[in-house]
Amino acid sequence: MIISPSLGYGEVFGALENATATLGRKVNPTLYTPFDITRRQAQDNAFVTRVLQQPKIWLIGTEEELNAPSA
Amino acid sequence: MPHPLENLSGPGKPLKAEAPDAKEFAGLLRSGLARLKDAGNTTLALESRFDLAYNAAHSLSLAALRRLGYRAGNRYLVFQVLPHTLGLGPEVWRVLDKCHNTRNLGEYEGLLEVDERLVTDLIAATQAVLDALQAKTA
Repeated sequence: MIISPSLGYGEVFGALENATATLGRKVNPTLYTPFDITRRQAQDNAFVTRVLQQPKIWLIGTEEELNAPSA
Repeated sequence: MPHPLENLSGPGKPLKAEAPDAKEFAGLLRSGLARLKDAGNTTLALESRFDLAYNAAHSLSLAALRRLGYRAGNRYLVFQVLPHTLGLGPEVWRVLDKCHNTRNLGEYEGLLEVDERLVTDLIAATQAVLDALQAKTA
């Protein structure tokens, strides 16, 4: 899951192609803008709720940043 | 070395050889152009724009495959062979492949999760297919 105001799927898939080859499996990212993730949290979206409840490996950012009021 | 499309075709394989048909190609191109144009209509619901852009991408990708004399047994295959039909990279075909899965979740499981981001990127990827196809046929 990637949260970014500007990153597009094309850019992400382009960047992930080497990882896909290394891992030998399809990497399937989900991209949200800060607005989208806030809206989905408010709507109790099943996927978002599940991901946020489970343990995560943060590649960039922190739990605190995600929960900050201005995020 | 045989063309990758040739390796994928034959009995028990996902592609089959079928001579190109100018009328079919023109029909697929026309349908793709019309739907891609309407997908940009922001007065429509996001779900409708997604459907229009997805179907445009399918028509145009199928046109590219038919142009080379093949037909696919699966819808998703026309996207996966875009590197071979139009020389397009993962920044295009993987986006369309993702949208195919999104579309299936919506059609068969009632879970159509589209947002502005995905529709914008789907339209951009479909435009890239159209540009590559028109460059080949110009």
